[in-house]
Amino acid sequence: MPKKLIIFFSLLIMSFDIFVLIKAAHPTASENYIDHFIKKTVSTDQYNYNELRAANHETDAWRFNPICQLKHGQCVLQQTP
Amino acid sequence: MKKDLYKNKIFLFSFIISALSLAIFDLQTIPFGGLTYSTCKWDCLWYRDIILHGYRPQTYLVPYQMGKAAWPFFPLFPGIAASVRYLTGLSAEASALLVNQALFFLMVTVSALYYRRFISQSKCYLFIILLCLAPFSLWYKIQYTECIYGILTIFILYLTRERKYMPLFVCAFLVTLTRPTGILLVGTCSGYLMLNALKTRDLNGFLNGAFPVMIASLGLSLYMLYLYYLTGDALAFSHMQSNWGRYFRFPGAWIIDSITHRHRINGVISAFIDMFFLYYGFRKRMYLETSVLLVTFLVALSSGVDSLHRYIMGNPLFVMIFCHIFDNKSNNFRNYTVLCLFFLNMAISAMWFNNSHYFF
Repeated sequence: MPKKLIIFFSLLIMSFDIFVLIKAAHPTASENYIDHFIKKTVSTDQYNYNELRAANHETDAWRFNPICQLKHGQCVLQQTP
Repeated sequence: MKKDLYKNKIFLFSFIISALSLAIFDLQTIPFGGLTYSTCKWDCLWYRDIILHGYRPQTYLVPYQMGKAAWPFFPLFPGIAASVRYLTGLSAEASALLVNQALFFLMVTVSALYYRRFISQSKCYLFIILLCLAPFSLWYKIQYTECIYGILTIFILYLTRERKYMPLFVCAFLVTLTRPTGILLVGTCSGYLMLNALKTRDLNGFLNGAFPVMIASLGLSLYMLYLYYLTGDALAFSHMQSNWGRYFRFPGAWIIDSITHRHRINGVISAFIDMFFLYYGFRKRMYLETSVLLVTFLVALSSGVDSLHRYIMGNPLFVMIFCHIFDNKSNNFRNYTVLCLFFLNMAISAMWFNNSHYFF
């Protein structure tokens, strides 16, 4: 492929990569999870997260581990610190 | 004319041995509940989930799968299987199996042609037999990404050596949509091209050599962007892996950890076997092929010893290195080794059908 074309496409792809990396540096996952779970109406009546967490403690390694808080009768997920 | 005849012989031999190998494997599943059921284990269940429902933003909230989701499984293989399922009306497991077993013929043929052209002309038939009938072939015949990844690996290496840039760009893009390690494979081949271009002071060759990495990064970025809009986290595929106990540590730390805690010993044994063959590959001057495996090995080992055997031994490049152990050996040694490997393959397949967790 000619030099000029490679440089042009490389710059284009690099700009896109940087855009994605900026997005990766600012995850909004905790908000998304709250949205998805409220939509799904996962309530504390259905799940006892403390028990589930105790039984599956290895999931603590995951930084978006679901942590339940009672908020208006629904289960809200938080990002672990 | 003679060259074409030889090529046709390889095509025919590859086809016969692949078909024989698949027939033995498929017949072996009968006592274990049938072909699609007994082959679909471990990661296959995640591919099944993607084929049936696509990627879902929620994690599983059931015991044993608590907090897990299918995001670490890259989309090319389940995407092709989902298309086959849509076109044929087969079940998810059957479509994935059909894709893999159909591609198996292609993988064996292209690997054999690559082997004959760049590695050794004399042991080409032995290579085909080992690729199809040795235990390394297990993962090509089930619903895993090994087969499609193997084909793309061979294509990328061939196109790198032949300096055919346009198809190389296409394969580089596809391989990053197959597995997270795809970008490492492309990076190694790009490094090879760039170093060669530097030696000859060829600027255009250098830029063309660097471009596959850019294309590969595009594939990865597209998947990351998709995950960002799906889950809110562009690196969800990587973060989710910690749910499988995979996170970054210095490669040797995982081996020491496994030995001191006496768990995943099969992974440790595999790591040492892999290290031996990587050393052996460099000794036999298969620099490009062994470098690709070495980079994959180091990155895989930095996140655990699980599945290490699959990442390395389930790669046609490993079988190419393995074939060198028959250099200057008697025919008897070769025949008995091949026979032993064939029976080992039967035993390992049976263990897989019985849900053995040693080979996932």
